[in-house]
Amino acid sequence: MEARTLSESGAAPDADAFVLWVLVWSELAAFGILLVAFLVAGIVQRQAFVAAQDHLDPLLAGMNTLVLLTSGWQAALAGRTDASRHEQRRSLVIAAFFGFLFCAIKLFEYRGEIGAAGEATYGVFFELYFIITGFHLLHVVFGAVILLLVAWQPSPTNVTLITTLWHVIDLIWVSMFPIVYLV
Amino acid sequence: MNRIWAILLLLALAGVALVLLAGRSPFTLVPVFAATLFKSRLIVLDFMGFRNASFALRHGLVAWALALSLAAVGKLLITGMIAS
Repeated sequence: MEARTLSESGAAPDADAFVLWVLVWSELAAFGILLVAFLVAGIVQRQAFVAAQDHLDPLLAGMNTLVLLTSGWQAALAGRTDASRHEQRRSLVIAAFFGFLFCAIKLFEYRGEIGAAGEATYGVFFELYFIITGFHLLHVVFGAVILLLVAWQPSPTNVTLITTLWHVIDLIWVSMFPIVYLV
Repeated sequence: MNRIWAILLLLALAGVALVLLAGRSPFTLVPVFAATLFKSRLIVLDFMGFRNASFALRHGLVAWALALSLAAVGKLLITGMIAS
């Protein structure tokens, strides 16, 4: 019961696989640069970053990690080689639901943080924080919408493409969470 | 797949619990980053199905997570040295 990769889906031409991996590595490069910038700024403005991090809610962010991992699990179930069309649809819809739940929790979290964001004493912390997490949030919204669209017409290629991208969004969050909230 | 999901949830919960209970220090954050790497590996190999894929696919994505974790540990060391 393994997840199906693009090369195994049998329906994806090489061009699709190439475009997918260009997209995946573009995302990883963009988030990598942003997260390294966050780390470097945290060294330069050490005290401001430590003070600003007290306004974040690692518990809510931790909850969001569980939500996104659950969504990724459902996406992986949809991508199994032996999944029926009905199972694929159900798993994709559940994955999208958890994606939207992630967004709701994140927006709730923003509500508590937005007040502190304007204070100059926190330096560039909140600018980078909202750029990085907001950019990721947009990816989750976009990905969840695409998951629903693919659930409507689940072709093997489309399922493999969106689940691969969804796992990359998951992977980015898993690395982003300790860097932004804990270090 | 269900077992992998359960392991990922346990690792995530353990990481958050460790930091919330023991605070932010290199002693708590290094295990958190080790768990992050293990989670990344499980996502790539099992959720994405790259366990039998080429070396580049299997290790490229995990290398991205490894590079960021090393950068974060580097930041911890530098800020620790500046503070002391």
